[in-house]
Amino acid sequence: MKKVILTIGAAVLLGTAARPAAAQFELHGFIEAGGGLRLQDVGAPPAEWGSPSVLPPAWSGGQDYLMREARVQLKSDLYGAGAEAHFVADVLADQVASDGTSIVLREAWTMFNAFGKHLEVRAGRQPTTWGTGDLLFINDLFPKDYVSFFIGRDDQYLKGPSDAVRLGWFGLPLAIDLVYSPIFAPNILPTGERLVFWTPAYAPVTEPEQKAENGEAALRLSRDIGRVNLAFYGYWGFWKNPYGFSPPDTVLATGGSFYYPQLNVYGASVRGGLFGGVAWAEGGWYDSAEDRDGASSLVPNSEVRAMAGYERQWWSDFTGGAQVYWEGVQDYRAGEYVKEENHTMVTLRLLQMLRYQTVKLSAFTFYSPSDEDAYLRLSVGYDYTDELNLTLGANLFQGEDERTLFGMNEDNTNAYLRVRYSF
Amino acid sequence: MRKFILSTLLVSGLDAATALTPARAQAPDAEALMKEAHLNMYYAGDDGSARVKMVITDKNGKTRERDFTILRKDFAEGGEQRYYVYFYEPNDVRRTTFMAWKNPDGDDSRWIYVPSLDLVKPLSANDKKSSFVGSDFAYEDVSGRHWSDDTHKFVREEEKGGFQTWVIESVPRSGDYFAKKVTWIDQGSRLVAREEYFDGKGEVLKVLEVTKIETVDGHATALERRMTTPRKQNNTMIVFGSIDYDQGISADIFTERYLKSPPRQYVAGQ
Repeated sequence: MKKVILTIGAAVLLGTAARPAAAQFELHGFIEAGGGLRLQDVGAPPAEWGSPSVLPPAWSGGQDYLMREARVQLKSDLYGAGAEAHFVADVLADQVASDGTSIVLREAWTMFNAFGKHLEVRAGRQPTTWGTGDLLFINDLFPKDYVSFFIGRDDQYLKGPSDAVRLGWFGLPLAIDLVYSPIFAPNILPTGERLVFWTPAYAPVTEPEQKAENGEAALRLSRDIGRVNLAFYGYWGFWKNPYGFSPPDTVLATGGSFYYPQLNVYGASVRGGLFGGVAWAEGGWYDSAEDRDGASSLVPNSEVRAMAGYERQWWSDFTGGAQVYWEGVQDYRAGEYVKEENHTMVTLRLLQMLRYQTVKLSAFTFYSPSDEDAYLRLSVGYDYTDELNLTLGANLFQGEDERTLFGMNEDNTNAYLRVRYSF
Repeated sequence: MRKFILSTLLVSGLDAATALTPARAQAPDAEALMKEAHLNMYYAGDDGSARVKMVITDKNGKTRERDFTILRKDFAEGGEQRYYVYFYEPNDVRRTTFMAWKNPDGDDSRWIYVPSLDLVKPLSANDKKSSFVGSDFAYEDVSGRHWSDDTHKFVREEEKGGFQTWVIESVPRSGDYFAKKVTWIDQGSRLVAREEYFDGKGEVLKVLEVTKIETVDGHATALERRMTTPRKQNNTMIVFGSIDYDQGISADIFTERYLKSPPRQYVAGQ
């Protein structure tokens, strides 16, 4: 047990001479070094962009490394009589990003109960996840970091934190969870800094103004019926990716820009045991509030999204699962979009653990029949000790059309190695 | 402990005396003994909690450690149970929680909660012999193999590992990962003192040894257990501490809410 016990003379450190108390708390975390290399040559930037004056570095040929970083994550948990607080901060020395060394506060939240434990309050910066999909999300509109996901960082970095107040009300027939974020937190997507991408035009992205009505609210009502969980969801906010386009205005002399149009989502999910495994199904109605009748070609139309999946252990320490996923664009007009009217995807997860679970072999495949593209995530993890872990992996993208999700990432195909020491 | 040795001696002394009488010629009811040992071992009280330290030692002598709190609530004696586990160590799974609803008549349900992602993930639970947290203990060994899954035969009485025991041979009722199991039941505490699992060729698959029994809150409790996998020269030692029975742990502890927000009245912060 590598415990870092810091005994602090409170009077000295806090500058108060109140009492000579010694506060004892534990500090945990890890130190990690990671390197990842692009395995493809980068092609020309999208033809639709014409010849922009300045191109992001990913196209300039200088970015062979997609990951070259060292990270220290520090975690601390504080427990009081009626409340607790959790902190996670990363000090990241990132030699690929332009901003170099940074301190990222990933979690800083407090939790307490009220009203006879019926109400649970979590306030602060925290990750939130719900829904049933395995790396596919319909009703989970909390921010995700697809850059970290695509370059092979630890799974925890897929979830971006949101600054939110989360209220849970328990004791009614349905458990109620409400998450309110005063500041909209979009997904983190490739910007050209390290990963190439495609958009219909070369234009900046603008975020919603930080004002009260531009927050996000997400609601979940859930109930266990026997061993089956049933849940209903609502979301009021914005598309998490900048799918809207504001055209250039010659009068105001502003250039065109992408933005996050308003979005409401209503959905439901069911999950439970089936034939010795776990089965789930989830659906959602994406109400594109700025273009309900699908008239505008600058704002995405409303969509119906649905998926179903199944996973089970086929033999000892081997888990295999598959999902089917569908997005149906409403009021579809051919030619308006790059997107197909019906976007389909299947996924396959295979996980074998060996040698008392110290070796993990993992493969996760996304394949889209409609877009004819695929993404294969491979990794081998080895716990040399409880503290020292090695992960070797690859992110392989394939697609003929550079405008599809995985097709645009084809030149971001990479392999990586991470070494971590936990304490 | 002393009390137990005493009662063991007492009981075995009585057995020795009664063994001479003709009435003792009848063998003990193997099934009844296995049921009693199972209930004592895995259903003591209506609920229980313990702080568990686990040390996994591989063939090179390298060790890995697990430190967790385990909560249990019984819904029917010998029937449905729910388990809740909160991990302190190793550090990369700190604050991770695990929950299992054991269903002796069908598949169990299991969930894991990953705090860094705020992710509740159900685990498929059809394979009872998968390793529990990378140890020699399979899921089934943590909550016990139900006596009704096997047929039992009384073999003999003998002294084993410091315990006076009844020896019982069990064969799975339907095909399973082992062909035969031999159980040594401590006559004093009526707990399992030792178990050996054999494959079809008669080779030992795994061995459970109980090395310390004490009475806690009136319940004889196996405080130290070691599971060895001879073929892999791997073993796992489990030591139970801070044991409490019958605290009235409520059923709602074993739900998603507390999976995400560990109940601090039972789970220490550090």
